[in-house]
Amino acid sequence: MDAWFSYRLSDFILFSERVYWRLFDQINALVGAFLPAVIALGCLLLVGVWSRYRAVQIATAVLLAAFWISNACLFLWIYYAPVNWAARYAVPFFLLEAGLILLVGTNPQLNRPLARRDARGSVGFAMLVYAVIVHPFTSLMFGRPLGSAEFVGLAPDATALATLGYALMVASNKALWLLLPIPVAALAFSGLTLYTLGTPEAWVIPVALLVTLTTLFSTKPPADATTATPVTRP
Amino acid sequence: MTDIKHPLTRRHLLQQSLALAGAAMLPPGGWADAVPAVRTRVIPSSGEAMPIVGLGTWITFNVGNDTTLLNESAAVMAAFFEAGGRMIDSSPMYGSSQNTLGFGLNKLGESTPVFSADKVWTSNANNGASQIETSEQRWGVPRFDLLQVHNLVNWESHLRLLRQMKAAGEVRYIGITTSESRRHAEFENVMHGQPLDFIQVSYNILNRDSEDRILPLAMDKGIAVIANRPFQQKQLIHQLEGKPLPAWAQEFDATSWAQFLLKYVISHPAITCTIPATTRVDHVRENMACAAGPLPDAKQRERMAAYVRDL
Repeated sequence: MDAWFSYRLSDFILFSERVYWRLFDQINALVGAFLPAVIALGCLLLVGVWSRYRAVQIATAVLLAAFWISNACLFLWIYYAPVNWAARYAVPFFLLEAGLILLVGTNPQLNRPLARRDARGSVGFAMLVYAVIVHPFTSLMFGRPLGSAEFVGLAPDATALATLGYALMVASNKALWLLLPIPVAALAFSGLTLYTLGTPEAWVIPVALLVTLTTLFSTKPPADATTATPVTRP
Repeated sequence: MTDIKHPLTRRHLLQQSLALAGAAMLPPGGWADAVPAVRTRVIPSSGEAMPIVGLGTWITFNVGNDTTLLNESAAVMAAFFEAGGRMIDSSPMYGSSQNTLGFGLNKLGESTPVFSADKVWTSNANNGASQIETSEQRWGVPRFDLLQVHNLVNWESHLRLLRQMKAAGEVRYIGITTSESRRHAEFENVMHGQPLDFIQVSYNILNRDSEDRILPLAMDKGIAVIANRPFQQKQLIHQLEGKPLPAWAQEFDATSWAQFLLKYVISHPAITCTIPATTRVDHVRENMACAAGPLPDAKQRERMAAYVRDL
């Protein structure tokens, strides 16, 4: 046990920044011609979170859950695990998050009322927009090619950021504690990794986490669907 | 019913194309004819000569399944062998580095003069043998030249296993490693009490902790020394970037900070081999050039250390 305590964080980051970003290059290249379709699916999240239609709400949850499964299989298992053995241990948690999203998304008792234009809802939507539309272009901002861009559904950070936004918009107060721990932990690990690699965009993740947690603890908790007047859903 | 004696499979095609690509990288006449004269140091326990600059794989060779980076790593290995290098060091801890080495060795062909150095790194004493077997498969070598207990993890059990393997001819040399100065007391105890061919420690111009006791003890007991992190994982290079190389560095043919730093390490008489890691062919050539030129003497070494310390 003493031997383990003698290691530093940098001892576990056994790959270079270049190798890390090339993981996304490879995944984007694998998806190839279907990349616009993946991006379009990400954009559907932006629409789905506002819908009053039950079927659309469920489809939105299914889509986000599918993104977590895709990250678990494609990113973690196939591409990341060969350079970081610890990635395999994250796979069950990614699959669990997919299950939790389905649980919350398909259960009206775990949803917020549909009036989502309050502070929490607005921050949540801004986070979703950032994850789906802005985050992929951080690669260009920091001098990396667009080929290594991180897209929702293919890259865990973008997917976790989108999930923070989704949770703030959709989940009831109780359900937030189901949906948030795994993406927050995933982003914390990723932020530490980027920081250790010395990548300039490492600050993006702590800022996103700070905004989410500040919003969570500073906004007045809206009434849950369980206590509010039930909304008629078609 | 078919006339084809060797069915054409994707694996077969891949192996053939790798062999062809490897043949294209092989110098005419094979590695042995192409190797230039480089400075060597003797492994005390056997008298075998070892080129003083080797190749590390920590971080640099952990490239996963990325074929572009796998090929770049193979090119680094080819340049290393062409320049007279032999020792390549890795560990099961280094992610996919062992697979990358296997890819490179397969691509370059069987005649590479590689001196394969790897480690056993598991806290479970029962897993040591199977881990070593897996490592051999990843490298694609029948046996390792050197096996070391990584960072003293479960060293008593693993050294027992390595001694048995050496006695059975399953490994040529055995040793221990550490990359942490605060474990030097325990390290020293193992050096005193166990028969070792090699030790591996971190040593560079700003990390001279092993100079006082570990390196003299190694010389005294006839143990070969591998110096890792000669550039402190690039930190020293970044630190010195843009700062003037002293004119007197020409006295021992150091034309860059990398050569300056490397010549400091290999000029210590206890060092058998240092293992800088790189992803670039030009850097591996620059590193190997150190093994061919003159080295600073003791007085120059002190001047070098003081100069860097005061920058």
